[in-house]
Amino acid sequence: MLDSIRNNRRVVQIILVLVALTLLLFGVESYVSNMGSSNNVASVGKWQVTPQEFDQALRDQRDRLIQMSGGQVDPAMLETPEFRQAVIDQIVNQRLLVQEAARARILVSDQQLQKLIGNISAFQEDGKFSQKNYEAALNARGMTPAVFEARARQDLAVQQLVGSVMSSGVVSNALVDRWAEFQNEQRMVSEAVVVPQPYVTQVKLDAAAVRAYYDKNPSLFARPEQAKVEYVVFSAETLVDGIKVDPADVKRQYDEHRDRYQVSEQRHAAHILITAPKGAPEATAKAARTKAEEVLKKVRANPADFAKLAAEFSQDPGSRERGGDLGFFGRNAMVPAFENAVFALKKGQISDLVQSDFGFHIIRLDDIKAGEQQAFDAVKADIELELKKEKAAKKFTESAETFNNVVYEQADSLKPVAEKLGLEVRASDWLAKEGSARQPMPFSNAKLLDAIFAADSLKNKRNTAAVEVAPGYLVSARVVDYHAASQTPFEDVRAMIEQQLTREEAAKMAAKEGEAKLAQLNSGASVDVKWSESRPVVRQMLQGQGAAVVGPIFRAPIGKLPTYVGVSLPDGSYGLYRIDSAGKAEGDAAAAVRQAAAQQLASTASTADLAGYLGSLKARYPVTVNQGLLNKAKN
Amino acid sequence: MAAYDLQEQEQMSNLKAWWERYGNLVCALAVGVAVAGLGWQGWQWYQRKQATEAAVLMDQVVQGALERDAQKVKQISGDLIARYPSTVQAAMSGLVAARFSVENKDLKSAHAQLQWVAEHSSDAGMRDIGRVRLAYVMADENQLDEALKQVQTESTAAFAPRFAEARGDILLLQNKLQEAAKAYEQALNSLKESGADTDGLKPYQEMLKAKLDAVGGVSVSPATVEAKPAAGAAK
Repeated sequence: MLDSIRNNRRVVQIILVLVALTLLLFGVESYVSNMGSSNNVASVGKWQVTPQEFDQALRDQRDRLIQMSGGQVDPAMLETPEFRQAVIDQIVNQRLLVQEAARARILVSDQQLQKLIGNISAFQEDGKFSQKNYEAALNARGMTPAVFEARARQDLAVQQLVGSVMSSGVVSNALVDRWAEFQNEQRMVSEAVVVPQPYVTQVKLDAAAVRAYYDKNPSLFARPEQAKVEYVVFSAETLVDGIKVDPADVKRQYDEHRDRYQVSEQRHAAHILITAPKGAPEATAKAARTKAEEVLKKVRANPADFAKLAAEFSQDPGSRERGGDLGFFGRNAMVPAFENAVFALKKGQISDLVQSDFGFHIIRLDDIKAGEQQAFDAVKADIELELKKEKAAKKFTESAETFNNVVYEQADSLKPVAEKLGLEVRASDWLAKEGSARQPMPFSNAKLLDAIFAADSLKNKRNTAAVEVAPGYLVSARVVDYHAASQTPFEDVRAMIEQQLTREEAAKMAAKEGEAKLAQLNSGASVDVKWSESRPVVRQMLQGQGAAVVGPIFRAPIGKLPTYVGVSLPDGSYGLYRIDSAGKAEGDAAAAVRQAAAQQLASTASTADLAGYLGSLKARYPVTVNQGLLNKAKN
Repeated sequence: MAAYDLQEQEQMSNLKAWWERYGNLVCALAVGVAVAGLGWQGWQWYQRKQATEAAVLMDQVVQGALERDAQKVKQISGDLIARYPSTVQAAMSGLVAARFSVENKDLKSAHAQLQWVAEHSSDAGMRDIGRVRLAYVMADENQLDEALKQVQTESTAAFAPRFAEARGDILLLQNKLQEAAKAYEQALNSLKESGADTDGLKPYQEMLKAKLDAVGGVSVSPATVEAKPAAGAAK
């Protein structure tokens, strides 16, 4: 390499000049963005998916699924390789679309962006977009409006791209007709099931076969590495009970902050709004004022019709249907101009036009609930708890370091730290190293599990360092019992294997018997079977044993009836089916089937179109997924 | 010192000789690169301008679609396609417009719109989507042989399952059940080969199996029927 550079110095010089020129013209970005790709979970075009990003997405997706299912989802499902694959697929697809939207310059208009942001309820006040809430909500997430808007634009562009493919699917009418015809087909079928149970006693298992099964399937009998620990939890919450508060302090807190123990004044008002948003053109504002003045005249003429007029003229969709009623509210609930007007009115009085950021209001004050001081006795317990929590939080901060130090310095027991800080030493059940999501708190924290299964903790039975499993929640654990990953001994599982093999053998015998009967039936001989009543079978039985049966029944020729079909069922029995007659569903049922067929065809076609499109993008932006890292990355 | 001077002089003369020999070439290359760079920038600028203008029209197509205003969608997408044919938006609006035409039973317009996407879009993926949908529209126009020709070969490998499925569907409409079964089998196989048979595509895979099942009833002999479900049940 070096030799060739020396020999071709001039050529190299020229190349260097060219490289420098291209760098000047095109920047260095494209040269560096591919660096470090071997450490990433996936790369999509010139974008990388780092292990951190992947973990974050994995966690987000898990939380979302758990939340959506109301905690009904099986956590074990969220640990599978399939789940990881689904999450990485989702990220890859998203990145493909974002890159394509940028390359194709799919732009989003300001109106579309405004509409999206205006409809997000977190940014609204009284059902309307509020700049103040918008900025506050973004601030809370550490985002500026510029960043958020750029992301929203990107999202909208991707939506437009996906939407143009997904929502424009075309389904052939002729195909729907034909498909509905299939779906409408119906067979009247009798069933006779040969169950395996009677054959169980006839099964003679070979002891060697049982052992062979054990030897051939080691993965079925693997026992993972497990540990039992004792542990202490240190948090402000655990401290609250042990803290004493001087009753005099409670009284002092009450006396010094009387204003905090008040129920504030509440007012009940109704209004009619003619909108003229802040910053609207002058002509619009003027027209609104004229309109509002007209309405005000009508209200003055017939104050009793306020509710009716509100229903007719008010442009506040929230209150219009309730005759303008806004219910009780306190100070700081409404925009200042509106609030000032309401708190200046007398009960029953109707205001003149009041201008706010929303437009012109006509307000009627209906009721006043005066503010009042709460009695000391009524709030004593609350104040005490509040003070306790304050002290506990303070003590927690002060003692967190003590906790850290004691578990570290006296590492062969948790007793010292428990005694020093008044904590309880608890004992865990067997814990596995993998699958943090399945473990109870606090062991659902992967960091804590890692610390427990670290060599030092296992070998020397030392306390783990204090792990912050959640903000303000420290845990240290110490291993008390441990077993390495191993095979479950054969004797422990022999009975289980014997049962399983017996079941399988019995199923085979049942199938053999069933097949023999089927052959007899087909040959026209009379056979001793108990047929069920004839029942209709349609193609859409996709659940349970139905799924296994429907295909064979509909594939059977119907030239000469009755005809017989035999099927091995998932539960180990053998089903014999006699097809008595063939027909079609009719009337309403048929119409419903056609509609369902059309929907089914349309939705799978859209899915397939999008899948093809995403596949075509993969040709443009090469995708590689590092399978090793994918399944190794930490939870 | 002298030795250095000598060496320096030699280097100087080397450099001079080098420059005399390659100077023109270097200059020409530098100019060439600069021109190419400017041309590239200009091309980018032009593309950006086209896309920005196309985006405005696309926005109106999306609006029209939301308002379910078929006339507006048809007209503006026609405009978009005529003026900015090389943009991806042209294909997108063509697809949306064709759907509206189908809904309004205007198969002729749908045919034309999809044919444009299938033949002229700058994006291979969009061309394939256009082609499959064109085939289904042609099926409803009763041009089954022509429709089948449309979906003979896909331009991107990712559309292999979809094209095979469409062939199966058209063959089914032609009542060629045995051939349809082969096409559906092909679709299932290429879906599996492409590694795209992930969870998200389960319903699609089920649909293909159901179609295969439906047409298999006539073409498959009873003897093989018995073997299949037994294997399926053992899974």
